[in-house]
Amino acid sequence: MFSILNNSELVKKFKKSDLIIKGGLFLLFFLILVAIFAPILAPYDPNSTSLLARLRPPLGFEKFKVGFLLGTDELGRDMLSRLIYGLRFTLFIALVGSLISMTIGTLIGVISGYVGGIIDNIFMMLVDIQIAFPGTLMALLLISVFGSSITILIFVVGISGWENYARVVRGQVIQIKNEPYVSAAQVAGAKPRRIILLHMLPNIASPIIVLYTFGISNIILLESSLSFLGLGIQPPTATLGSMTGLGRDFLSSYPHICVLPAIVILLIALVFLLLGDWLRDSLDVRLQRK
Amino acid sequence: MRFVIIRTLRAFLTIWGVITLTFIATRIAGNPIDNFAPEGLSNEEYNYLMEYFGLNESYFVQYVSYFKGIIEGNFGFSYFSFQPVTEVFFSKLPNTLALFGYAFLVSLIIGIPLGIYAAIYRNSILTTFIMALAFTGYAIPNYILAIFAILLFSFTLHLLPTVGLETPYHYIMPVGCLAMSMLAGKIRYSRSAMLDVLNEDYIRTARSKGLSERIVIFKHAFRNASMPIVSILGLQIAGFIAAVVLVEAVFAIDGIGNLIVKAAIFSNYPILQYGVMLWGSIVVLATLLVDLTYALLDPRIRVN
Repeated sequence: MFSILNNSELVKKFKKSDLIIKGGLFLLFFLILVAIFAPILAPYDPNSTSLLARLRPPLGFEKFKVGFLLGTDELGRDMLSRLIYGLRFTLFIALVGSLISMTIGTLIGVISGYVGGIIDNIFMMLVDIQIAFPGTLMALLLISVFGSSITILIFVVGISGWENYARVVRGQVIQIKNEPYVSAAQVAGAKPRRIILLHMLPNIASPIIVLYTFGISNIILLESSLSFLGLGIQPPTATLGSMTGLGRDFLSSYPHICVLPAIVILLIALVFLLLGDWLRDSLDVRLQRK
Repeated sequence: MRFVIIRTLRAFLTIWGVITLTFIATRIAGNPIDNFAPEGLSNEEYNYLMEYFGLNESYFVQYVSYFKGIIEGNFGFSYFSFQPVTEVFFSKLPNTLALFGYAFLVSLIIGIPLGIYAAIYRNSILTTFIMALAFTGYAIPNYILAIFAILLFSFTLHLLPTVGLETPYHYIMPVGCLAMSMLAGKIRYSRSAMLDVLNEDYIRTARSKGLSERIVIFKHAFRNASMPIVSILGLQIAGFIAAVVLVEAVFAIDGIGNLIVKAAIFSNYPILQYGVMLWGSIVVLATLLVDLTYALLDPRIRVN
């Protein structure tokens, strides 16, 4: 399944791709590194307050205070440190959440496509229900019922979007079910699990990877909008969405508190979108548009 | 006919599934009264509330009576104001509908011509600009767009008010932000629908007959492209609850979106249940309508 990731074809295509893609992928790489090494890179503890250095603007503005490169918020917390930790948090939730929806969706899609019949009907019914149940509403409902904690948030964003994987994977499995190599494996006496894992999944990995990339972008936006509405992780934990949401109160006089995290959300969602677009074109995947 | 019946049955089964899942979700975490009851509520008052909302019955009885209520048009009562949820919803509906309607209209009027232009003049500079606009609208979450808009138009240029919907000026930013996120889809879909049609043989025939380019585009191409465009619009309407929720939150507009968010924060389940059910039904019925129209027009679908 991972042969696709160190595919030399992909490297070649990357070298030929235009500047926006190259820049986007480097930015993505950079942001991921920043998120991983957050404890080393952040100059301060993201939650330590300093009443003497409240509401300082970033470098280049009046009243800038040395040491706080991107300024401080209303409690004197260092914006740069909070952004770095917020990024780490958002990325973590997005990667894990996407992984959950990919696993659920792929599993259901494979079973549905491979077994067919009544099981297929039931699963497709579930997909229909999920489509009728917009992610944001479902997230609001579940958070309202279970309260907001990191686990709940990951779970909530994780089960939104599985229906995309299920639909695409089911279609692919049905398509390749009658290919000679699958029949050959069946004739040779391979068990369904072996056929699915070794013969089918590697052949349908490209659309799954593309969906995963788009899924990350969607989950970043879902998580940050929930946090923005005050329904995500509760303060003082820094997440990009809640920083934007709480910073809104200071928009008129101290816009950097709100605008900086908004820009980071924008960038990170954008680079995953770019990556997804590029992967889709390079791996030559055709996906049904929603 | 068989197709229509099966498809309709499936749609209603889906709506039933949505209602049931919401019911289970709101009961799974225990008694809702415990979530919002103030400290020091006397036993008597507690029992009164339990009885008032029918929460002292078994889950099965609650479920059956909830369903009965839905069929009779009684969707329950708000845990806070004790009003019927439909009344609460309809009091907030005008704001949301106005916002949504204007945004939809604006994006329609701007988006479709731009999409068609981008399909016809594939290599012009304006097309690059249009596609960049589509990508921006798709990539920037509308609440972030709203924040930037407020910063620019209200706090820097002092042109537009920031909250509420009192005067026509109040509509400009929320409608603009909402329209921006709808615009992206419209440009992309109308462009690709037009591109598909422009490659057809009958377009070449029309051109070779010597018809003017205007007639070819508007009479032959656009008419054929309009069907897929309309169907996508139907489905797009359904997907915009998230955008409405966020735009209403940023501009503090007293509409359905804010109602739902508040209901989520204060565990006002009847409101949430109704919201989810309403929205789910809209999505399902819109999809059903699109499917049936297609089947009506294209016999191949009926057979499969």
